[in-house]
Formats: sequence, structure tokens, C-alpha cells
Amino acid sequence: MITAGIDIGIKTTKVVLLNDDKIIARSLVLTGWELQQAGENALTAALTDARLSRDDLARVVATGAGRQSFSLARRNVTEITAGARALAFLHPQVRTAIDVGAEEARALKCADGRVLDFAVNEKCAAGAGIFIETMARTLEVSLEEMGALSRQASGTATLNSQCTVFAESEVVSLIHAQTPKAEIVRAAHDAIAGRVASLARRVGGAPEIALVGGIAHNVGFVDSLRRELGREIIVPRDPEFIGALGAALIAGD
Amino acid sequence: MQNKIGYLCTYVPEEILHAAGFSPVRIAPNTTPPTRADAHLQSYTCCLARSCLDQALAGKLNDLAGVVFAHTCDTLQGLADIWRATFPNLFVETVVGPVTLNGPHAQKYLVAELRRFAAALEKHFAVRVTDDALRASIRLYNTRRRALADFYARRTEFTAVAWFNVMNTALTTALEKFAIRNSQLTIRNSQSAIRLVLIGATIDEPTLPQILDDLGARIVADDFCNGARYFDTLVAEEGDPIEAIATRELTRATCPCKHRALDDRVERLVKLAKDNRADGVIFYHKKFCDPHAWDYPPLAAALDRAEIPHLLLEVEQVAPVGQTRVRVEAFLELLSEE
Repeated sequence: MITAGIDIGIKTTKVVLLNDDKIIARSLVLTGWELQQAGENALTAALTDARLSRDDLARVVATGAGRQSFSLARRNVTEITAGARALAFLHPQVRTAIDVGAEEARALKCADGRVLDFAVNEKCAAGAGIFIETMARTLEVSLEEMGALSRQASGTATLNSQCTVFAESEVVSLIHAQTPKAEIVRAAHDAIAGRVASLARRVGGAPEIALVGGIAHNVGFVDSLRRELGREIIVPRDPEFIGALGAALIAGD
Repeated sequence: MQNKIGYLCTYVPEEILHAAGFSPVRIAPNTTPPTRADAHLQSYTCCLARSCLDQALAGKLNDLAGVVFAHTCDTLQGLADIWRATFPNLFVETVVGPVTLNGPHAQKYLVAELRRFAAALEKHFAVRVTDDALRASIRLYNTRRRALADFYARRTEFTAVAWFNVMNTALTTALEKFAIRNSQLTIRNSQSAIRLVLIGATIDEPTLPQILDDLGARIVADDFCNGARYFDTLVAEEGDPIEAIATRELTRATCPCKHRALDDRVERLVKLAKDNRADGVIFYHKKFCDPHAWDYPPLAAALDRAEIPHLLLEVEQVAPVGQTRVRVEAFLELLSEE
């Protein structure tokens, strides 16, 4: 049975196509303003990749911030439930998942594909992916370079501000003080790691701990989170597709 | 038309204001972000204080002959002083009730305080608060509380938004104009069986009820100042009227600012959830509301022991729709898996 999971996020829309339990295609597009259109574009791209048409799809399930806006979905689930389902499939030993999206960070306590508890960052971008993007822009470093750069740091600076905008001005002060760029990047990773670790602790923080969402590609951030939580962090393959994978698995359940 | 006197807290005795010839109305936060109140209040003050003061500063409460506070949380005590200093020509009073409701002198003290308050009204406005007028007002307010309790008993037949509208219209409308209108009562058509108890200070805007309706959950009980706690106890219609009003204040279900025993409120709310066969509890907290935040850890622990899942929503003036919906929806998904 061919199922599709579609994760319409604040920044990007992701699709995973499954043939039973096998991933046959993936796609990622920018979400933009038209959620339905973004969803259709991502779905079409994945179907083309798999040499399939919409008629081949048995079921579509949507998740993500725009989950209610996609008319082709048979039902929708929150990204929290979708994440727990995908991790049970990929790494069943995971008990705590940290999901850092563009504008929201979540921690969930899970077992056997079920969500037992969850916590979401409230009202502030300080624990979200946009924090790293803002810091990258201020430092004139590409997002892709951030991870490797922070690994070159011999020490670390400290960012004291909770607020992303105030932290940005702190970064400017550090630049003026000739602080090495690598140390500032590491400080930015440490800052966000501290915030998402506190979310993880709110749900108990039991091992094993996984990190999902596009930020998990950032090796510098994974290092910071490992230091903060004092244990290894499981990073699934293609961590930005976890929500879409979970939705596709739920479509097949 | 009767002159209106505003109040923020339901520990203010409406019957005494009514018997003095006034129409007591609840001042509620609106949905406009404050632009004037922040010159008087710290940014870590709850939206109830900020929005209500802002409305007064913007001249939107100019039809009030006075504002009456009750001694409950620190914020409202401070707000009473700010209100008094900012509007020196307005009648601003604080009714200082006891915190420990079953202390040996609580009844005697509260009766004296209510008589002092009645005398202050009489002096300021040159009116008389007679026992006959008090008895008549008590009967009228009991009638309204009974009507709300009757509606509450049938609440699961109606949408959560209907429940919200009925309660909020009741307290912000003059008694004589109040009626539960059929146009307010939308029948719920969802078959979802998820049963929720809502706990908090006040609920002043319908984002959460609307989300619950959209997702098909039903509110089986609530514990809000502008909810079930308002009408759970009537005033005795016999005997000395001031004594009877005092007795109601001392025996009604407590908010976190009042105490009867260490675990009184915790035990009552766990029982409320169990008796109503709740699948889950949503704490609806106003950001920076200390009393509710203080009560939350023991309440959450007691619900954990009773194996009743719960969700904490902390909102400012208006709950953000997307973020609130994802939290509530994930919570309902968690409950429906149980």
C-alpha cells in the first residue's frame, strides 16, 4: 500500500512516500504563503520521483503547522504525535525526542509510538531554529558552515540574553570585542541547547534521547546538546523528514 | 438607569452594591493590547490587571460610579492603590476579607468588614443600605446563580463557546438585563467523547473554547472565577442578610487566594475531575498569575497520582491560535490513545 505523509511546516514542507514500511521517495519545498500549493508541489515532486501518480496513493495524512490547510489529506495529526510514531519505527529505544522546528521547539516523552507527555517552547523564538538562522546572518556565515565552525572553537563565549533580538546585539558586541567567530558560533549553539535541554528535562529527559528537525544536521549544535545533557544524542537519518515519515506511517496504520 | 459600579474579583459582594442602588458589573480584560497601563504597571503583571486599567485610562469605563476590589492576590491589591491614585474623584474601595476562611474569627471579622463597606457606600453616595433592600438583592442574585447553575448542569449539550458566552455575558451585564438567550445556545453536534475539566482564574476570550469545539472535545466541569465557582453556593434568604452574605463567601469553593485547609482545593479539584469522569484536565493560566502558579505543582502531582493526564496552557491576553491548537490537539491525541 502506498501512503504519503506531508509535513507542512512554518518554513518548509516535506513529503515522505511509503510502500508499506519502505521509504520510496521524499521531497522538500519552501512553504511560502500558499499552504495547499506548497503541499501539492511537494507531493507532486515525490510522486514524480517515485514514478507514481496521485491515483496510486491509498492514503495521505498531514501534519505540521499547516496541517489543517491541506485538502488532499484524509486526516491530520499534530507533529508531536507524528514524531513519536516515526521514532518508534526508526529508533524504538528512544524515550525522549527533541524536535527543533523553525519557530517552535518541542520535547516529547514517548514509548512504543505513543506520546506520554510533551512540552513546547512558549511565545519566544529563543529555543527555535530561527535563533541559529539569526545568528548565522549576523555573523555572515552560512547555516551549513555553522556546525563545522563551532567545532573549531578553542573556548566559548557566553550569550546571556534569552531574547533572540537581544542575543543578536550581544553577538554584535562580541564581534566588536574581536571574539573569534568560532567561539561566538559555539556560544549560539550552547544557548539554544540550554533552552531545548530544559524542555527535555520538563518531560523527564529519560534516555535514549533523539534530536529531530533540520537543525540535527548541524554537528556543532548536536555537540552542544550532548554536552548540555551529558549523554549521546541519537540523530535519525534525514531528521527533517521525521514529521512527514510519522504521518505516512500513521496513514498506513 | 442605575449607576454601575465595577469589580474585578467575584469576592466583591454584589448584593451590597445592588442594595445600595447600584448595578455591579464585572470589569473584564478585552482583546486590545494595552498601551497606557504599562506606564503604571510592571511588564510582569497579569493581563487582567493591565487590560482593565488600560480600559479605564482610555476612558472606556467612564460610566462607572466606582470600582470595588477584594483582597485576594498581590496584583489586585496593588492595582486598587494605583486606581485610587489615578482616579482621585472615583469611589474606589477594597473589601478586605479573611484569607483563612475557617479561622475562629473569620465570620465575625467578615461581617464587620462587610458592614464597614456598606457604611462607606452609604456615606460616599448618601444612600441607605437597608436589610429589606439587601434581602431583595440576595433573592435576585440567587435567581441568577440558579439560572446559571441550571444551564451549567446541561453544559455538555451546548458548545464550549456557548458556555463561554453565557458565563461572560452574565457577569458583565446588569442583573436586570440578564437572560440566557437562545441565540447564545449553540447545540454541539460532535460525537467525540473526550471529557475535559478546565481550571483557572478567569477565561475572558473564546480562543480555547473555539478550539475545543473545532476538535470536538467537551467541557464537563470548570473551576473559573467567571465559571462554576461563581454560582456554586447561594446566599441564605433568611436571617441577617450581611451575615448570610458573609457565610456564602466563607463556604463557596475557594480560589488559590483563599484557604480552608492545606489540601482542600487539591482534594476538591481531583474529586471534580473524578466525579465528572474527566479524561483530562486543562490548566488555563494567565501568565504572571502567581496564586494559580503556586497551586499548580501540588495539583499536578495529585492528578498524576490519580492518573488523570493534564495540560498547562499559559496565556496572555489572547491565546495564540496556532500554538494553542497544537498543544490542545496533541493533548487530545494523547488522551484518545489511552
